[in-house]
Amino acid sequence: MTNFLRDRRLPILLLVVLASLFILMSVQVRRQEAGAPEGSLMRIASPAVRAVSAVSDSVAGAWSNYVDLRGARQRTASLEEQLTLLRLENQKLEEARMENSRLRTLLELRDALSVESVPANVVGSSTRGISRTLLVNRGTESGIRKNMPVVSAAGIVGRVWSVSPGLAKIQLITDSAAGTAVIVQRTRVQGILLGAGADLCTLEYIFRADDVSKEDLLVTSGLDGIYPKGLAVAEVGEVSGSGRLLRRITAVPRVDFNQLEEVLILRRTDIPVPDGLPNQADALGADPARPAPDQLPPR
Amino acid sequence: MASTLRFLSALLGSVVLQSVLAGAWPRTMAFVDLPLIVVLYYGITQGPGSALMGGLAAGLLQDVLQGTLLGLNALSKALVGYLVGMMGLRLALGPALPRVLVIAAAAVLSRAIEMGTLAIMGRRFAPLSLPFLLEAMLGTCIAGTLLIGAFRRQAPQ
Repeated sequence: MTNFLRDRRLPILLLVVLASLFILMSVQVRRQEAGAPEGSLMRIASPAVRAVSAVSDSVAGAWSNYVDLRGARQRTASLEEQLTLLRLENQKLEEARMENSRLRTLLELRDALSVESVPANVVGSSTRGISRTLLVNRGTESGIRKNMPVVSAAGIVGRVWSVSPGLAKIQLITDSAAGTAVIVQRTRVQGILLGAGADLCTLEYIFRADDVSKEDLLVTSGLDGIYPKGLAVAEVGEVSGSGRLLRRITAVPRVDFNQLEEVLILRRTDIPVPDGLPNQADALGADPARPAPDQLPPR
Repeated sequence: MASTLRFLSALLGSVVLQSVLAGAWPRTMAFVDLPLIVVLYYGITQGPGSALMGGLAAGLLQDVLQGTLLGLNALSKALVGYLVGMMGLRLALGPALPRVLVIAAAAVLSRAIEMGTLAIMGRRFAPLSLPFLLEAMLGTCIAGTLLIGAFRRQAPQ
């Protein structure tokens, strides 16, 4: 009997194991819950299970953290890239918004002027040297002619000095060769505004008795035959020379030429531009026969 | 003593790895049964007794960790381990080809025993499709061939 059992030890062990497992499962299925066998096994296996669970949790947690970290790094890089693109986009939008605002102001001016006009963008400038000129992206193909007035929302800018296809050079009112017939808005005193170079003008032919004060607004009088009457030009700055016959007056242009980006060219058809002959404006201080402003020798 | 410890460590490690990897790649690990591979290895190399007890221990642990019917994995792994161990006594399973065939058969048999047991117990279960069984056979077969080959190279002669 002992030999029989020893020879069949493994099959008997298998049968015992299988029978035990079947009984274990049957008990669970009948009770529909974790019964005593499972509870006992759980108690026996509890330390090992806890250890295994702790290990698997920590490994799974570490793996999950690693995956999250990798994902977070990629997301961060992606978000930084998006942020850069959005910042650029934002800058473009802000630029567009500001341009839109400027153009709207210019459009309102255009409607108010009741003169046919052409909008133009400033594509170049020479406001630091001797001459004070701008280059705009409109030329003969847009009907631009010499001496046409150029204005912005803040006031007059200057006049067209020379034109070529696709490009026009604008002589600013601050150019030392420029002259503009103006009138003091408050007292209606007339004078000539001459360019003084460094973003300033001087108001000439104002007599001692004339009523001109600091911050008085100067507007175009229309007498120079170039600028329409009533456009803002400059504000009176320093007034001196009270003991002399003629006063010495500086004026600050209303337009900031250094920040000018868009202008309106007024297509006045009534401007006399005989080649080689001085027109009314030239008689007031801007002689078209003279060399271009940027060709003038330094004073 | 050392070999017993190695045996237990391998069983424990395979169950833990199965549990952890199933969390990370559930679809892939559905086709691979690492504890079964360890049981098969010990069935081939140590005989049916070790495989039977190893399968019982690994299966119970797997049941407890996976929350399946306690004894289901234990039954299938103990039975398959015993059968493979018996085959190992009678057939030469050292060469690669018979080993691959045994692993493939064991993978299918294990799943079949689980389904059969559930059916006998009257438990509802989703019947495994043939493609799933084939994929499980292929996954366990590839992983088993690689791992058992590696174990045999590492094991002291």
